[in-house]
Amino acid sequence: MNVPIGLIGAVLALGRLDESKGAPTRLDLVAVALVSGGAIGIVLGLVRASSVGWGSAETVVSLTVGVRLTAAFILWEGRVREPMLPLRLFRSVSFAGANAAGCFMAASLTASAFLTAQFFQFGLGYSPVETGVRLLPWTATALVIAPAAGALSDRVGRRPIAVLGLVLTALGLGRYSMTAGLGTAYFPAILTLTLAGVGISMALAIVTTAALAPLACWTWAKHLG
Amino acid sequence: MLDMGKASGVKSTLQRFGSAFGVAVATSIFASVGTLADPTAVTAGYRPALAACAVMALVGALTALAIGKRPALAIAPGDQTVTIAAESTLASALVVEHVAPEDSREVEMFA
Repeated sequence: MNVPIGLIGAVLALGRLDESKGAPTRLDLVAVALVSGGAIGIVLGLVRASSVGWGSAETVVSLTVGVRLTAAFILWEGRVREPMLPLRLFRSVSFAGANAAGCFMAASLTASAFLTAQFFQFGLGYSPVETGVRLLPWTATALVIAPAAGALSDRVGRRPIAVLGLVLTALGLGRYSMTAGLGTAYFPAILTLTLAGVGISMALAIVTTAALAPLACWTWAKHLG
Repeated sequence: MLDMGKASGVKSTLQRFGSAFGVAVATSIFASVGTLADPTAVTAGYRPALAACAVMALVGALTALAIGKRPALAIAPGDQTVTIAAESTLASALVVEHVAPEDSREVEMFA
């Protein structure tokens, strides 16, 4: 199912998207190696920790190497002339905050969607299709909420919408984590997941634009100049 | 020199990393208290793991408090880029159209 969708997307992108080019820069292979190694080390350590244990040599070595390589990457980026990751971007409190929020938002969304699909299948005993249909009120809220949240943020600003969205997500997921059970009726339970869906849809729409908005005006100004 | 592509890359990378990190943490918690063997064991693992997802969202909410609070970028007043934005009517119009109210106030302040 994913393959044909991807192919259609690729064909459309080839035909419809214009190529945009920035200033030519050389690929910094040292930085690529450091950041890739760091990410692999940290994620591998976290993933393996669940099967081999947190105290095992494999987990500890993997996490330590990952963290050290990531730290080395940041130090390296502070020194080179054309950094892959310009650290001064993070001097903007708004940029740093929006990116941190985006990271935790993605963590919460992906993990909760993954876990809940498992719970509905292996806990509650639904088939994959039955699970998908039952989770629609949670996942389909994005269609309605995301555009509305975007419009609302133009009036009240991005911060309140992003914060409220993530708070609602936390409330919905937190409540469901306390009430979910094998005997729980679907109907009231799905309302708490839908609350989380409304929240994450608000946050998704706003956090991504908030991460780039501070830069957008300067870049446009530069291009016009 | 600012690069929108790099900033966009930072955003995407951090979100991808967040996804991998979130699933890794959640499955670790799941596996430490539950298994996929039977429905009761699944529920036992699911509930604390989902609570961890709620905590991640809450941490995200706290960091989101920083959005739009301070000037858009660490650019000194009088920087060439800002001067262009202030002097060109076309640029100003575009800027005001594409940024949130609090950001455009900052543009005016710099100008």
